[in-house]
Amino acid sequence: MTTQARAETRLLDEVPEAHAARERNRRYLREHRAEIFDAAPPGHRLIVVYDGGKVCSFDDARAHWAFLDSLDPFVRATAVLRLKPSPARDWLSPSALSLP
Amino acid sequence: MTRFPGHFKLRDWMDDTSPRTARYAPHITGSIALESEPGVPYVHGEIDFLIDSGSDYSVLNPRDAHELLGDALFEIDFVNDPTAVGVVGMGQGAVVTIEREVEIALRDEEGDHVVLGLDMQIARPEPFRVARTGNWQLPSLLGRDVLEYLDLALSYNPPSVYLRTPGD
Repeated sequence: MTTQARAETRLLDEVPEAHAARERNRRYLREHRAEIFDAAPPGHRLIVVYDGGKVCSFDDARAHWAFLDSLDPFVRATAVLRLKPSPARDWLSPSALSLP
Repeated sequence: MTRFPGHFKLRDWMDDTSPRTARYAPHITGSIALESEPGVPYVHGEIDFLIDSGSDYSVLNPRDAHELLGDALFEIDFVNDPTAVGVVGMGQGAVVTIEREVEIALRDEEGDHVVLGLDMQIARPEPFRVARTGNWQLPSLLGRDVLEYLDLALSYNPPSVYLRTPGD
């Protein structure tokens, strides 16, 4: 993030509208979690929810950060970053439970 | 590039005969917000995470979980929770974890935060009461699910620990 972008983001962090916008993005993610995760192509684990419910996913952290930097400062400051659960978790089966 | 400074911390959770230097492990402090159960308002706290490239997942271990949740930790149904799984490789033997959605905020060198949402494993306390034994000794872990997103720069000489955005 450039110094200017960083300063803009920091300023926006103080603005109530920014908190409200971020919460809207959070809520959108909560309410559409399954479909957002399903829509992400295989390997895309880095998800950005921004601008009231737009979604982008990435398989590359550099591209993900570059995308964030390309956004309008308000949109970037209020975007919600989410890691999609790894499919590797499927290896862990509940049948592995062995509680006393 | 944005850098998130960490620190070395003396490992105090296991008797071992490792050289003293090797017992200094890289940690990073993060603010965490999590629901004590799905739909219940977030609780917030600061946690010193062991940066663990050997762990598939980030894990909240009992000592930190209890600091955040209090005795609500013991109300979690680690047997019937649909996300419960058995995990090996953390301390001794197998442990059950459940999954909760969390947000972790890391502070960069200039004091700005990046907030990252992820599903984190919460380990079932062993023993199932407040203790200083079992997995109550273990630090919480920042695993490869997060390291996939941020690079780790680590040096013991001179000592420095950073997570940083991928770049040159």
